[in-house]
Amino acid sequence: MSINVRGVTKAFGDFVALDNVDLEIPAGKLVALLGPSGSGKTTLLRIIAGLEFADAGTIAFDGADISQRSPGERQVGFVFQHYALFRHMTVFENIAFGLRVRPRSSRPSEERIRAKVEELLRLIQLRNQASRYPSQLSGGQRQRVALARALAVEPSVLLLDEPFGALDAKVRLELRRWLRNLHDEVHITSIFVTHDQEEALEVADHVAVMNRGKIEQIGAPDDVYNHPATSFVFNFLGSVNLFHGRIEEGTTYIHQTATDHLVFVRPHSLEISRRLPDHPNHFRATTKHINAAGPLVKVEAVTEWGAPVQVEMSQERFRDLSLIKGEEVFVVPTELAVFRSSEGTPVARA
Amino acid sequence: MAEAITWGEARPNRQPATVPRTGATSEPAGVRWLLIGTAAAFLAVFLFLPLAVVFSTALEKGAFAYFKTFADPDTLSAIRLTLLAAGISVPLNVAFGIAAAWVIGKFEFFGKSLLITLIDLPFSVSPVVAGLVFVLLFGLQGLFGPWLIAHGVRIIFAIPGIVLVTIFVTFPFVARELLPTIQAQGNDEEEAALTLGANGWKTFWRVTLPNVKWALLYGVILCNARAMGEFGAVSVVSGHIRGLTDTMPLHIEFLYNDYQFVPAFAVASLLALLALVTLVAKSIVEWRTQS
Repeated sequence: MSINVRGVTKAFGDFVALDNVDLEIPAGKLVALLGPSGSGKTTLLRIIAGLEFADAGTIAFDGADISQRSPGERQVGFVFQHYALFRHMTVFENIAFGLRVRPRSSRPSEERIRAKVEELLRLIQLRNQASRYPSQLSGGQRQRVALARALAVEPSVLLLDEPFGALDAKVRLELRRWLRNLHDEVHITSIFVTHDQEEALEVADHVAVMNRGKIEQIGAPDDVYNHPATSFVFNFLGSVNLFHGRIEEGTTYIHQTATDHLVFVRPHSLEISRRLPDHPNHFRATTKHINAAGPLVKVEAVTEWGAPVQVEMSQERFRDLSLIKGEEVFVVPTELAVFRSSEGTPVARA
Repeated sequence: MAEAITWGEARPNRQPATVPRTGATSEPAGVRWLLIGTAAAFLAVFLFLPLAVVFSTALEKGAFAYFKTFADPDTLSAIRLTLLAAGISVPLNVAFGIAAAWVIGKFEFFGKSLLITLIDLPFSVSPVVAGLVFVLLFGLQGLFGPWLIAHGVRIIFAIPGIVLVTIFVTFPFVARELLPTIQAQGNDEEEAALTLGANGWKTFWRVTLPNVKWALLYGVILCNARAMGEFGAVSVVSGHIRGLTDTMPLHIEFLYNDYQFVPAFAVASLLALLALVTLVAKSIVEWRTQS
């Protein structure tokens, strides 16, 4: 089922959580709403679920306006950050809840409910825990139960609010791969909210980057990462070095003093050399700290005008250079993005 | 220093070897026993002793005299009235308490803190004043009194008045017990139930109520204990018509003032017994809540 958000605005007192948001989600896709806290992503998800109502704008499922429907009528599955399992019910009863509360006319028989719950317990690999209570489960297990509970009602849309936010790093990684696999199997239109860019880029078909109640950019993960539409997106996705720049005859030069252009360079797009580079766009820097643990060597340096800069290089390159701490080197940006500092809109790329 | 302070039988020099201290916040054995001893002595003097006196006086003329008290129609009437007042006020306060705690715990609205203050009012107002307020409202010279008498409704010096003041003095109990629990639990589970297709009614019965059931039961027990034991407010509105508007506490007072010590303490023992049953029930609930 496709989801169509049009002109949705929501304010809490003076705080504008959503500012005229449009969002189109094609059927069967897994979309991440990515943004810092307070960017409005959870509010948007809750409005789609019907847990919150928009001040203006409409939500449509498959073209039909459902803005005025209750959460139950929308047939959405919602997974909460803190699981929100029914604490006085067993795992089995939690999963069965959505089927048991249906009106008598549409309620499945006891055997059908049992079969459905068994099937979901198999799916989440918790068949032996059916009679346990939520308090007896680990965080990862609880979130899987919450997911099974949401899936039991066969929702047309699955909404997940920071589903892995409360879990530790390893469980988080496992569970998000599991979610990706699950989605590849059932193909239910899904939206999940996260502030973790790595999670969004790894799991989602599309990533919508949100900031201050607006969607800054939506696209495939590699598209959003490699072609950020705004300075905010560039900054938010991965680490970045920020410089001032000036443009002369189509070429961008990194500049020491403030200009009206901002130059963004990823740490891996900076190259260190000992010889004076041929490229006119370069600057001098002194290495301050070298971290050679891990696949990439991370070098922290200070530019000739005293600003910190981060450079990443392969272990191989590091060995060839045999770089040491406190050395003065030349730095050349191999790839950069320029944005107008006042608006954050892109200017040029080199 | 350790040698200088020796509490009763405690032997500080040997204690550390036999009773290892369990943590930074634990106290030396001497201090512990002093505190426990003080509490136990206090309880013995102020709780156990009076209770023992009640039962021993009630039984001092033998079991026959004790049970004869309960054959007296006035005593039976007092017991019935007490049960009736509690039987009406407790369910009403359960309904009110759940509604109030729900509204305060789940929603933000104008005048919320005023409502909380009003719920606490019966705790802060003397029961005698509470009784007088009802006399001023419904009594013969009261605000609604003449109109009610004209329509044949008697509230003051009759059973409705007793029920009304009982409701008044007991209405904070259920709401006050439920409120912290409801507030602590937040809205997550209700929201989950709503997205799973449950309507408001089913969400309330299947999610909200089961989550607060122990707090609710605790509130009911306290409410019931107070409803049965209330003296001041009931005394003002009752009119002390024996066999008609005397509750158990009022009846006990009458018997005592009439030098009928055995019957007075027999009825008192029954009331104390009810209190003991309530306390046991409360302990069981507390034990269940913790486990």
